[in-house]
Amino acid sequence: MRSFSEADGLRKLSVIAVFASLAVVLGILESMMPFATAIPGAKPGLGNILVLTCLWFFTGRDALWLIAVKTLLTAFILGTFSTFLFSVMGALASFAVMWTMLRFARRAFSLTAVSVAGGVAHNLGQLTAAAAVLGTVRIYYYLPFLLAAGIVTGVFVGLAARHLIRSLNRIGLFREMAGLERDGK
Amino acid sequence: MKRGDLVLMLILAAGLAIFAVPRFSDSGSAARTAIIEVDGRPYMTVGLDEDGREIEIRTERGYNRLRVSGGGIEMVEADCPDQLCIGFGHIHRLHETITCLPHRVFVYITGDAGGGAELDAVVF
Repeated sequence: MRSFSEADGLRKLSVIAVFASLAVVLGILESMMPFATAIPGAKPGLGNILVLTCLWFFTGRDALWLIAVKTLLTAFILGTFSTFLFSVMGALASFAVMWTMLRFARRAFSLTAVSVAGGVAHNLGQLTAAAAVLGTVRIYYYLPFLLAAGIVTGVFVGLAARHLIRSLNRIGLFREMAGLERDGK
Repeated sequence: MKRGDLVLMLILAAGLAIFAVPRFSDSGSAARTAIIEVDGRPYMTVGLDEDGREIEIRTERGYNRLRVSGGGIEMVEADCPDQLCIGFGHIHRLHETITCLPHRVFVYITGDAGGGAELDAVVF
């Protein structure tokens, strides 16, 4: 198998690219949903399904690439550069928490718990960036709403990711790639 | 349900309680003024009894229009791309906020202007 490592790398790259494009499409879809009218600033965060799945099968670096492509493309397509900084801060906070949980305590948490923590971290990161830019901590009065939103969407994203991971596990090719990834470490 | 899940639930419940309890416990107290900040600097303080008063904010980032009504304030117009600030609706309770991140506009409700202490009542 080792002699095919270059092909495997290419295969993994394509999978991550597919993940990224899916995440972008989900991001566009959710921008059309009237979700934000209930709690302004909250989003379902469907793209996180792909980030979580990527973290599950591949490395943190792969997931970071996915996040970079996803946030950049989404900002380009939706034209949301004025709030780009806040999305990036949210995405990075979410990534850091989910990566840490999966890397060091995969057995202690269910996938849903990882996703919920990621969702909450996303909103905390976003709000912290907003507090820094606006120079006020009073914006944290809004935190309970975003916390609750993060928990609800986190549960949904976690369940969706679990289904996706289970299905992908049935594909031999995928299991092989993930296995190679773990052996390579 | 794993052990870590329980720990996470406890942390989140504690976090929600710490932030939500003071937020909702004093929601009934009188709200008198809204403070508007732009780019982290105080922009204007508005009495919430000035029914019908409109505040226009024009910066290099964009345009926002707020309107005072019924003891509260709301964002009625903004040329920001996401229009989230309008989604906050009519705010009238203590500590409620409106944020327009693209334009760096932040509005929050406080108690009596200059009073400082936000007390409901004092009983001797």
